[in-house]
Order: sequence, then structure tokens, then C-alpha cells
Amino acid sequence: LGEPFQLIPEILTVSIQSKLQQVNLQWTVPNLTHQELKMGFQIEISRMNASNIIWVEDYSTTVKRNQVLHWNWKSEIPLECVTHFIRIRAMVDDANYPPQNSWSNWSSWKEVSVQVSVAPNTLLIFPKSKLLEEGSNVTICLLYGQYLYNVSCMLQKEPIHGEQLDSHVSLIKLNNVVFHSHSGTNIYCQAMNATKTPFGTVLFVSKVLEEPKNFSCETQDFKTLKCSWEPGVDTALTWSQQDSQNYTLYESFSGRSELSDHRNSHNWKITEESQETYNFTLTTENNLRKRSVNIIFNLTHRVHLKAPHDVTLETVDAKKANMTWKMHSRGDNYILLCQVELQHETEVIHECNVSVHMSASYLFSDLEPDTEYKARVRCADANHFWKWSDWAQKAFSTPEAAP
Amino acid sequence: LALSLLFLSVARTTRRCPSSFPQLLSQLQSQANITGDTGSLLEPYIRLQNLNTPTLRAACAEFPVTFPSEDTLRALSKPRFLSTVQATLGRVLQQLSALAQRFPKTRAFPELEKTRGNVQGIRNNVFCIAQLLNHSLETPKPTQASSGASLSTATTPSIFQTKLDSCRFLWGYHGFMGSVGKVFQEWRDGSNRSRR
Repeated sequence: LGEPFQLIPEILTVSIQSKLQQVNLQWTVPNLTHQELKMGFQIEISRMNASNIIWVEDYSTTVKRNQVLHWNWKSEIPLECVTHFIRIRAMVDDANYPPQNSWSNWSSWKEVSVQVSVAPNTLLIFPKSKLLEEGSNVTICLLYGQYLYNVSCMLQKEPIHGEQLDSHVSLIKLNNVVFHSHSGTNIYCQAMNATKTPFGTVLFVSKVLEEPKNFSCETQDFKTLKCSWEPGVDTALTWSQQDSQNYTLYESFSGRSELSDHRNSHNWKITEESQETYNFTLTTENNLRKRSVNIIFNLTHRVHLKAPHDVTLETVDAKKANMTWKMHSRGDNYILLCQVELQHETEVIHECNVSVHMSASYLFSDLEPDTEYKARVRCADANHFWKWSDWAQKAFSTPEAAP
Repeated sequence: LALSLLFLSVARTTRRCPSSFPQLLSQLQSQANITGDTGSLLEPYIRLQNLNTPTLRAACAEFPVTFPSEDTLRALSKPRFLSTVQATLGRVLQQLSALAQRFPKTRAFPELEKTRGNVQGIRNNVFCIAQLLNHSLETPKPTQASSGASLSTATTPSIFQTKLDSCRFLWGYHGFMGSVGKVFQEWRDGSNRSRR
């Protein structure tokens, strides 16, 4: 039995997205014997001439009859500077098809090039500008006009050197690029016989987007959740290259998503039918990267009470004083933990914790007559401690002892 | 200097015109001198855009955007001079606004914002002085090189090219303001002599 019927892929289009330095390939498999088949494809890319293979990639997929298939490849060299060639072959890998032990023939080579004309006395640099992350690598290429010679290039104030690809193209490879300024790193070249100098490009090196830290949410009134986080470095760059990163909160139980107006906080409205448990994902994104952090909590475990109010101090006698205070709270059966402190001349002379309801009192005893004191109190949720409220305080003086 | 800055802000915000010609003239001259100083905008721009290397600085200075020259301005009648300054600074404001678009809020360029305010202040005062002299500020026909103050946008220039072109524009702008200051100085000297 001879080798089964060969299915040779046919390239439909090869297109280029210069800004992305990306080659897009579209092909089909004519004469498909089945409605659909699992197939493997092998794609080769060569540079400058068909024998200089620089990339081989295997790609598997299920192919339907007359289906147009897509694949793309990113070149580290700007596509304006050098011609590439691309071809493809196939092999059926499907149980419903006789086993194949060899690839089909190759499709014909297709040329991949950008039409660029270089005036004899000028020099073109690609990419024209580039946004990239600190630490990444980039290849810059120079296309020389035929009259140019002695080309020299600088990265800001430092000379940089390229490698000749051929008589009129050279490459400058920059590894592990460093953030230099929000206005970009200037790379510029001069040449003998050039009409207008300098020729240049700008690398916009962005700081790496950081994961938000210390992301947490709390409520003071069970109406609003105040979420906050530490944003890390602002990755905004000028010349419209990159705005400051944005921050989006997504709550999975409610399905609600909100873009924050601030870099480090957002107020989330607690609606009537709101649940008790919240599952928040905070996502930050710039043009180069996206990062997320997640927290799950019960609303009642994140109560940060407002400071006590209506604090009163009533001296009972020269040695006793009674302090009362009130709390904004959710109801009288709601138990609070309060910390009471007594200071004399800024020194804490008495401190204790008491469990109370919405209004409470505490009796200071063993005081010194005719003495100035300062009493202060703060509270927190007793069932699930999250944070103390702010302090509320009151100064008072004990009367002189009775004769 | 503080006095002139005070006038700058007053004139900028409201169009109430001082009624004294010498006061207006003195104010316009000091405004022109302030804005003619490259330290007010060009030098900060060069630093901010990392153009502070011998090659790039030379490239900036070598081909400044052309503005009406001092001789051209001096040869104009008073009405034509005021109209030329008003129109040119109108285009300058447009260019400065276009440049400001390229800076996100968190990367503000304060000197640029200050200059926009100052230029607006000068335009207000030019309006006032024209009113005092009963001159109408018609849109002047382009003088020998007055079309300056606009950047060539034949094809989409690269950012590197735009950086340089903006630098050349600012170089031309400061030169223009210096020339305007000198012409106003000559107006003042002329009016002082006629009062003797």
C-alpha cells in the first residue's frame, strides 16, 4: 500500500503589523478528505535568503473543510530592515485517517518584506519608537542610504555599536534595558555625507508594573466599603506612550466591577441586597502588563468603627470620676470592646479593656485630688476584632479634697 | 520682576485694560523679557527630553523654526507690529497646547503651563495697548517669515523627530520674544524722548 494521499497546506496571505513586528500567516488545506481532521503543521521562517532558517515551530489543530487557519510570529528584528521568507507543511494526526510517518511537501516560500525606500544621504532607524519594560531586550536596526559612511550612534551620551547584517543594514542589540526617564531614552546616529542629522528613535522604557500591596477593605457604617492598597511605582510615560496604570475592583458574588478614580483607594457602595461575604479581585493594568490580587472576607469582620462621641467626665469626688461615651453602632445588642486610658502629664497611668454596648461608662477611682488628667477611649468590634477606632478624649481635673 | 509677574497674572485672568500707556508698555516689555529667557521653557524642555548632549543640542539650535525676525518686526508700523505679535502668539499657544497633550497628568511639565499663562497674559496686554492706540488687531498677511510658529507635519514624524522639532520651535519662540521685547523697548525710548 502506497503512502496515503498527501494533504499539502496552501498559504493564502502573509501580512505584517510593523508596529508589533509581527508576521500574520493565513492558510488552508485543500482537498480535505474528511469533514474535519486533527493535523500538525510545521512552519519555517528564514531571514534574508531562503536557506538561512531562523525559526521552526510546530502547530497542531483540528482542521475543517475549507477552513482558513491563522498563525502569527513576532520578529525581534524590525521587519522594515530585513526580508524574511515563510513556508509550511503538514501531517495528519487523526485516528480516523491512515497513520502518516512523514510530513507533506512544503508549501512554496512566501516573501515577507516591508517596502522602505532610503534616500542616498539619509539613514532610517527602526522601530521609530518603542514602548518596552525595564529589563527586556530590544533590537534596533539602521538602514543606510548608499552615500553614507562612518555611521556612529549614541544612547543618550554613551556610544553604542551595531553588527553589520549586510552592506546597508546593521543591528544594535540592547539587552536588559534600564529605565532612564519618563520622556524616553534617545538613541541617535550620525553619518558622513548625511544630509540632515541626527537620525534617531526613542525607547520608552517603562518601570515594571508592581502588584498592589496591602489590599484591604473595611466599613465604618455598613453603607460603604473603603478599599485601599499600596499602588507601587507610577508607570506613566510622556509623549502619549503610557498613562498611569489603572485599578479595577471586581466582586465575584455580585458580579460588579468598578474602575477606581484613585491610584490607591476606592469606595464601594454596599447595596441593600448585599451579601455578607465579599470576594474582591483588584486588577492593575498598563499597556504592557496586568497584575491582580484577591481578598475574601466577611463584612462583619472588617468593621472599623468611628471614634466614640459625646464623651463626658463627671467627677464623683476628689478621688473618683465617671466617664461616659456613645458609639455609632448597629444596635444595642451589638457588643463592642473599648479601651480606656487615663493620662497624667502625658504618662499613661491606667489602661483597661471593657465590653460595652452602644452607650457606656467607666469609673476612674484612686485619683489624686486637685489634679489634672486626660481620659481617652477607643472601641472596636468585640466579636471580630479588626481595628481600633480613633481615640476620643477629654481633659478633667479632680477637686480639692474636702477639709 | 515680582511686579511684572503680578501684572502677568492680572492681565491674564481678566481683560480689564490698564489705562496708562507707559504702564502697559513697561509691562509688555518685562513680559517679553521674561518669556525671551530660554531658562523659562527651552532649557527645562531640553533637560526633560534628554536632549542635553552636544549633538542633540546642536541639532535643536541649527534649524530653529522661523519666526518674524527683529528687523522684520522693527520695520512694521505699530498696528501691523501688534497684529503680527498677536497672531504669532496665537499660533504659539496652539503649539504649546499640542505639546502639553503629550504629558499625562502625573508627569506634568510646570514650565510649559506657566509659559502658556504668560503668553496668554501678553496677548491680553497687546489687545489692551491696541485698544489704547485705537488700532484694530486685524489678522496680518504673513510677513516675510512670519508663518513660523508652526511645525511641519507633512508625514507622521517619529517621536524623536517631534522632540527635536518641538525643541527647534521653542528656540525660535524665545528668539521671537527677545525681538519683541527690544521693539517695545524702542517704543518706550521713543515715547520718553517725545515727552522731554
